[in-house]
Amino acid sequence: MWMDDFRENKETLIEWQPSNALKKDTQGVESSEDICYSCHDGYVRDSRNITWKYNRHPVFVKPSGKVIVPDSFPLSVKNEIYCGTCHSAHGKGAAATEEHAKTSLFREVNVNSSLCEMCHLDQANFRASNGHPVHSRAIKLPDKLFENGAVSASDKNTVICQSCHKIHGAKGQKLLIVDNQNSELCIICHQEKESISGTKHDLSITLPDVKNIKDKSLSESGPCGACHLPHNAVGKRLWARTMGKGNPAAQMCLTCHDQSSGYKIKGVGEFSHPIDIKPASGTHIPPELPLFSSEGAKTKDGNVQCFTCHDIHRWDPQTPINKGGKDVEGDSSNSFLRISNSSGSGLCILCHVDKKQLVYSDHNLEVTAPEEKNIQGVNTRSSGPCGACHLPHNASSYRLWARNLPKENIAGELCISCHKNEGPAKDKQLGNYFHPVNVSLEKFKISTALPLFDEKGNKTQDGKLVCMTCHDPHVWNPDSSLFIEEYKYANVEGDATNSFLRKHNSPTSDLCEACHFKQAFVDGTDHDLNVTAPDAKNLLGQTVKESGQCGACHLVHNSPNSLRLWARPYLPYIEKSGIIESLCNSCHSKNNIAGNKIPVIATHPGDKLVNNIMRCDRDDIDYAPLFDVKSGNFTNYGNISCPTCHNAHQWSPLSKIKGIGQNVEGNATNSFLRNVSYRNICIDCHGFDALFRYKYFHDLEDRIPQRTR
Amino acid sequence: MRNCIKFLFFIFCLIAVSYNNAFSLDCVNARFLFDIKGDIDQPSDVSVSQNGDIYFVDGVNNRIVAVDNLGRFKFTFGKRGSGKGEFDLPLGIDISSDDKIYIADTGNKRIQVFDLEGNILTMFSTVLESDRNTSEPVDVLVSKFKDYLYVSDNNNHEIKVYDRGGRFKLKWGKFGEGYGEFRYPATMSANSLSEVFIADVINTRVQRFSPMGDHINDIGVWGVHPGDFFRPKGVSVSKDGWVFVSDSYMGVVQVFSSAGKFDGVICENNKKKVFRTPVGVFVDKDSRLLVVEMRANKITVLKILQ
Repeated sequence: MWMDDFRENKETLIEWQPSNALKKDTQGVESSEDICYSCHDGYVRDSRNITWKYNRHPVFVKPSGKVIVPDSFPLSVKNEIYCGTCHSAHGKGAAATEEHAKTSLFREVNVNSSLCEMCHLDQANFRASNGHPVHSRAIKLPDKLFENGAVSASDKNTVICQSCHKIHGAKGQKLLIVDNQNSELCIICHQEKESISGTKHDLSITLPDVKNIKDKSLSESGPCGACHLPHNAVGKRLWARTMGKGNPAAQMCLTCHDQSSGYKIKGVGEFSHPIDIKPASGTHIPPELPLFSSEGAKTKDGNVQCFTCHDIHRWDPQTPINKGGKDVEGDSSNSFLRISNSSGSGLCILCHVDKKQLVYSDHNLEVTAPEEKNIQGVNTRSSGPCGACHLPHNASSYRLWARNLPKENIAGELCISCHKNEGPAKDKQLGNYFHPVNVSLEKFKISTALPLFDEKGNKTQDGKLVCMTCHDPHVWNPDSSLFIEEYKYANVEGDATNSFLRKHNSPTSDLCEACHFKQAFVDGTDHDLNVTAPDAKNLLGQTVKESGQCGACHLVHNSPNSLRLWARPYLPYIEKSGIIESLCNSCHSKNNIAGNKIPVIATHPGDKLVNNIMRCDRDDIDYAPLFDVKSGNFTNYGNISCPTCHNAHQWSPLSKIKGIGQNVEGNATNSFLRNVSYRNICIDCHGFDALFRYKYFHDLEDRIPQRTR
Repeated sequence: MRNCIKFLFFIFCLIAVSYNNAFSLDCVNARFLFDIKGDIDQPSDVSVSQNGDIYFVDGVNNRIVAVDNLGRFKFTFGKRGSGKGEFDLPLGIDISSDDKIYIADTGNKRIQVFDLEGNILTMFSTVLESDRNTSEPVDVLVSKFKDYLYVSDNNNHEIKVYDRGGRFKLKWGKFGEGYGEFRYPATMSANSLSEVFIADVINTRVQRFSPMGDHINDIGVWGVHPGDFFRPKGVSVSKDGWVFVSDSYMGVVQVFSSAGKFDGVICENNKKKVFRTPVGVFVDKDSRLLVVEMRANKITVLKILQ
């Protein structure tokens, strides 16, 4: 009829518009917007509030290169999208089984936004295009989302295109169901992220001029959009900013926090907590500190990433209302940490459980040196116990050290940075003579289960012995798994059972034994003062119980004597016997603890009569050390002295075992003798007479007749 | 040769006259007075109070807007909701001779009555037990005849009649194309005889009924010629009996006699006045034609000149 009207030679109220042909290869106006509106204006069906209010899907434009319109969705003769591209009075209708599928005269069944996905392939294939997940149900979608116009999927909590977008009547740009200028839509679901507003990570405060990868300013993108794009992001986590090479999870943060980013904001520095690493074996990572894949996905099997410690959307974990601010310097109680790290370093200790004992020790500077400042000028009250010595970012050196260090020999200097004259531990220094440190054990042919360290402070099998070889600075008492109940938050004088030793050294010499296992046979012998002189004190006034067996005779730190770090007073050397015997005599002399064990005779012709070149291997049965008379150092030419024949650490040469813990009377087969065979050094001069002489060396009566015989 | 020239000139004149006749439009001239614009969203219907103030339905904003007779904003009332004085996509309005405002609150399936200040007076449901479909009242007409209220229920394709107290009196119509049947009845108006004129949208006509619902005649047919309809939406009968009908698709308002004789298209300076989606129309006692242009979000006020 219409066509006839137009063909008549009469005025018509509307013009004949051949160009108004919309559907390819057809002529007609049936799919024009005005036709739709002529019924949907409320007088047949009311779609005003749905279709023509706010924003709607673009029509009468050519599809962008980002979409592929399938053949079943016709374009106009101008290759433009029009109403009829999606709608047809003869559409397919809803899928019979889908309660929530609505037709709106769609050309194809629209189940869970399937219609949208037929053109918007990138968005549908969100994994490949780094887009917001669809058809996933990670969270319970809030009612507010639906109140604002979201269409529910067949499963209410499943995200579909229409969870965020409305094809008609969208209040926000990009067909979003609500205006998202200030990320209002994002916040409906991601409410916990709202706390970013007003913090330093709200880039409108800190970097107001930056643009995201789509060249959108903050006013266009909103606070979330500065870092996240819902579709076609740069990388995982919908990242919206340029990313450097490497672990994407970290690169997201380094986008801004890398030194080379060019932004005048805090970087992580050269020395920063390791990331993208598996937690140490056996470490229980609590749920409060999530792990992430390299791509940034939260997973129980993931690695430690920046996000593990930092919730970058919340400045203050305890007080979300505290936003910090552009010029507010953070501390261990905020700084986007997931858990406050002040007062006990709770955050660090959640992972580093084995370090928890530090909090209850003198190494908790929060208690013992509260005003001490780290290199950032933060005192330990603010930094927390861990922060006094370690900084997770911008540390001064390896081991995340928070104090000034020389550039070399890091491992050897860590402890010294406090245990020095100007340091907070000036009362606990090494003294003039102390156990060798920064030495390789290889040359001593010693192997140990204790850790050795390279210069960077990393444990390594071929490393050097440093303070941390014997000491674990985080654990006061190696036998106490977590804390010391009796610790009273004050300087506690330690002993051989604690003092940050890796192993206790009393009542058995476990620590020293780790390297000096042969010397540890002294335990339980007469030379174990627990057995023979428990009340005797060493030069530091310690009983054997306090010092340990080894400490009764050797002082690892603060020894006044360089020779053998001797822990007991001894007389200047006697030229005839040499200084090494002075050490023995410091006990085996009149009025001393071994005053009842003084040899009646112990003489040997003087001067350098003996050489032990063939008997200087410590591991050989005929080992017979000689000592320089003055220095006490080992020598190959000299005279015999007590230790030439006696090994003070082993009761019997026949039994490489510890003593029985009783004061035992010895004989010629034990008594700390090194050798009870003919193969002793005496035979070099005395031939087979040697054993006889050896046996009666200290026996005045038997020795003289021999000599006269 | 001369005869030949005369013949050709005659033919030329004949063609010229025929062409002029073929494309001459019957105009009812009007003069543009003013537009009523503002923050309004797809308005639908308009009416005028006894003092000349203009009230129109700003339906998608779920409110009624009052302006003075020169279109100056006065106030609004209503908001989205289902409570008293609240609306859900209302469409129709009429103001009685005693200045009561009647609103077809479509989404809420009811008629609400207000005073001129927007205070609610009463309301009643348009849902009847006999309804075949969900009631959707799209317009309300206050008649002098027995103080009847006529309600066009376009989802039931019926005209329901109530008294001023909201008591149901009678109804007529059903879905269909015959006389007295409807395919989506829309706005209504009454002449001085209380005859009811109803825009019948999909049947592309205006039906004229007696106050009791007896069909009298149709106005207009399907087509695009002057006097035809494609989507008749608004109807208003002037005090002297002319029937003004808007066509939302063709964008015109046409004038008919009550008997259905086409009189002309509203023009300005003899040129067709094109409106953007004209729906509700109202001719006031001063012969001003108010046309609601839904998609233009405005009300155009014209002075009818003849």
